[in-house]
Amino acid sequence: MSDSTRTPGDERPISPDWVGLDREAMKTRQEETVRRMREAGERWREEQKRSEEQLQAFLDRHADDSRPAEGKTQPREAKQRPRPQPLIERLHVENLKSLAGRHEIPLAPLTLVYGPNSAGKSTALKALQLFMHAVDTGRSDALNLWRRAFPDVRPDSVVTWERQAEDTPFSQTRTLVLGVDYRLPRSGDLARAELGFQSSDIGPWQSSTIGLAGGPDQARKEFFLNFEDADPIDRGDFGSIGPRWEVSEWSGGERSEPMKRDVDHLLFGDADVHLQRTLFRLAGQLTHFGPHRGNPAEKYSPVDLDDIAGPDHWGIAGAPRWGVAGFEGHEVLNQLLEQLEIPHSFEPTFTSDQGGVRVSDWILADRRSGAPVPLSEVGYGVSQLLPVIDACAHATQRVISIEEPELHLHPRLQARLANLFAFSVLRRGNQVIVETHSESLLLRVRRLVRSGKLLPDEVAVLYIDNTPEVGVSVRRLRLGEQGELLDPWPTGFFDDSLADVLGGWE
Amino acid sequence: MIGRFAIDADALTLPNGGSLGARLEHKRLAECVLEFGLLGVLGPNDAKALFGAMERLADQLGYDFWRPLMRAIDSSGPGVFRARPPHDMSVHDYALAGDLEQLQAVVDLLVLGSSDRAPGVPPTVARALYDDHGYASFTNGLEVALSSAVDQSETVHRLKALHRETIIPAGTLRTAVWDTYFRPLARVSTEVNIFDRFLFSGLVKTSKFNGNASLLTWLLDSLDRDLPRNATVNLFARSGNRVADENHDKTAQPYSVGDISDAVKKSRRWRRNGRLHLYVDDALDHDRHVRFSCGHAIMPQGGFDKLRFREGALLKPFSYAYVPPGDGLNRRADEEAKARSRGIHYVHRSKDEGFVRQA
Repeated sequence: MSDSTRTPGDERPISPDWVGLDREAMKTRQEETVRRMREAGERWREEQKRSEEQLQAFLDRHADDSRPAEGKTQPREAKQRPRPQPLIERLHVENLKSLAGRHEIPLAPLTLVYGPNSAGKSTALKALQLFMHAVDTGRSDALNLWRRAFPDVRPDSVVTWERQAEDTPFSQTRTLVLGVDYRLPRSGDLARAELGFQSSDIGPWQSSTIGLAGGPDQARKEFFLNFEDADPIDRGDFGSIGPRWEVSEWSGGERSEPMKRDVDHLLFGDADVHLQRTLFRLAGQLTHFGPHRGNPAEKYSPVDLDDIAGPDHWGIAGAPRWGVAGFEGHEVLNQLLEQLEIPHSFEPTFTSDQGGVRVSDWILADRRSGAPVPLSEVGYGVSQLLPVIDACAHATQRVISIEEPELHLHPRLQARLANLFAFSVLRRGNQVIVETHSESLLLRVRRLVRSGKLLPDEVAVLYIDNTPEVGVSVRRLRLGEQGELLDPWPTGFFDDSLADVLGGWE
Repeated sequence: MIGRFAIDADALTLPNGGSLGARLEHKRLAECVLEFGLLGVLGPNDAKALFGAMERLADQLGYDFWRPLMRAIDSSGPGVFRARPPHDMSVHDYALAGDLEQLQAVVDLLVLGSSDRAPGVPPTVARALYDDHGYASFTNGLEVALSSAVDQSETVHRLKALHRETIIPAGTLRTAVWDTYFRPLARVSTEVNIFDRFLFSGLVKTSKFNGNASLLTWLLDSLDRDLPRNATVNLFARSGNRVADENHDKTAQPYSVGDISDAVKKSRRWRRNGRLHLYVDDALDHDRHVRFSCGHAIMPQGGFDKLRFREGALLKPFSYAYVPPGDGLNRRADEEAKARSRGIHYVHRSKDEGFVRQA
């Protein structure tokens, strides 16, 4: 008998004369194996039951019937849910690329940004992304704020240039200012934070301001890298003395004496910690999708949303999760794919393990045939849309900005994107900002307002225009209670389709 | 200034297989709807019937003629109006049932198909409609026309005249002024923006004039009668101090927001609490307008204070310009947006509470 056939705890010595198998030990081990298989099966059933209960609880809390029975109208909202509030109320942009001058861009829980090409729509979204990135990186290293915020581009290449007189000794860009008005949790007060930057031949200058919006106490800090103060002469043992940052703080309208600094960990100085903490948290909660979301890989990789979930006002933080074990995350995604009428779904693959069966992976399958399909083989539009659906479904209390989500999509699916964004706003508490050219999307949003799912104030339809006479203008086109546009749509956009219909007869 | 058009789905057919004449007929119809009115949709069944007709038309022509047009006019805000409350029957159902009278409350011009004669049409009307003119007055306020004759109809001719004639003659009755020029726009709008920096100049008291808010009272009473439920009225004006400063009479006393509240109190009809907004902005643009959310505006050449009536009739000719959808209208909306962002915002809570300043 070898040790491998001995049951645990068997203390009997093994005979050195053994030539056969130990029947007793084998029988004991078989019984032990069967017991473990039964227990594993029992555990799997319990785990499955628990999972079903979790899904049921999730459905009870968060789902409602989007397909009412034939002949019946959709029931009105049975549950009193909290209305969505925008995390960011307003975006301030001054002199970023085409957005010359100061622009205050109002935002709502769902914001749709329209306008002709090259008017500055993407720049508005870029401004938000840059600001959040600058806050996120600058919070621990204020002096290198802009260098780290613009890792790939020279800052002065994105700042609007000031035309200088010929005899001006140095070139000068305008001052770039990016900022937001954001809402503080609990109190609901509006706070304002801004970052400024200017680059010139005498050295870069940057500033930070934070405080309650419209309040008298604005904490302001200015940083100036003084090249002129640098000593170009080598000081032998001490080495050359390079330019140093001069930091001054404003308090009560008074400016402190500039202090030389080599490092500064306080981006906003000693401003209210609550204001800073909320802003830093917000900065880590922006998910931005550019117009191209990469070539599809063989297998879908979920959008990397960190674990930061907002205050659980919505009762859903952490409920639907990606992961192999829980299936809520996948089922929410499958449900959205079905409601968007995309004929694909994520199906689990099972492997046996420890006497039970577990989900080892989720693969994309064609719902019509049931055949598994690699992501690279499904329609390109679907592969581009999946990350957007994923983020809208799984993010909570985040800001999601999306450039041209309608690319590669049929107009009917473009319209359904509005339902997806409304879902993300109403059920996940996200703030969704969409740059788009899609008329279908707007029509569906207006329909959702008409049906009472969204309130007019919860949607901001912005039109950014850039004309030689006026320059860049940002208009908010208000919606009425019936989803109608209260302000006229600027000419030269959707009118084109009308011209196509009526034109060509002459 | 605009008409409410409704189209029997039967009129959206091309009996000759899409001949040039038939296509031109549709083009003229579409242009008329766009220029002079709104396309009415009675309810879901009417929308379904129109869409069905468009599908058939698209099959016949090989391209979708009407739907992009409807989408275009719907996308830009104005262009389409939905009957409230919605009707169960479509225009085509009413035509088949010979019950067109039901539509006179919501439609000014009804476009009928020419392939089958609608039942229930009185013989004289039928003869004018199908044999003599292509259009006919059906009842008081409701005209019927074939799609080929819409641009010849009385309704369109009257609207053309109103767009062309820009002076309301002295002696016109006050009710006629409202019913002809303002009511057609008000009844299909969910928001009205009255933009005039001297709108409340009647409230300025001088040594010789004790103030008169009758213009505001008349406007609110009239709007309340014709605006749909839940519609909003926005007033844009200068502050009383600024208006009094610019008054040539040195004894002029400025009015307060409380005085405006008192003027609203005098309105017998106005009960739309929270639906009257006031924006006070001293930098208000000079040009005046009344912009209706249906997508049209009227610009008085002088101020609204020129609308003076004696014994119910207009005292002096009143000049105006009509502003259709387009760049001019956008500029007027932009001026409102500026005033909204700059000015002080008040909401009229109730006649007891008056105007309350908003944060």
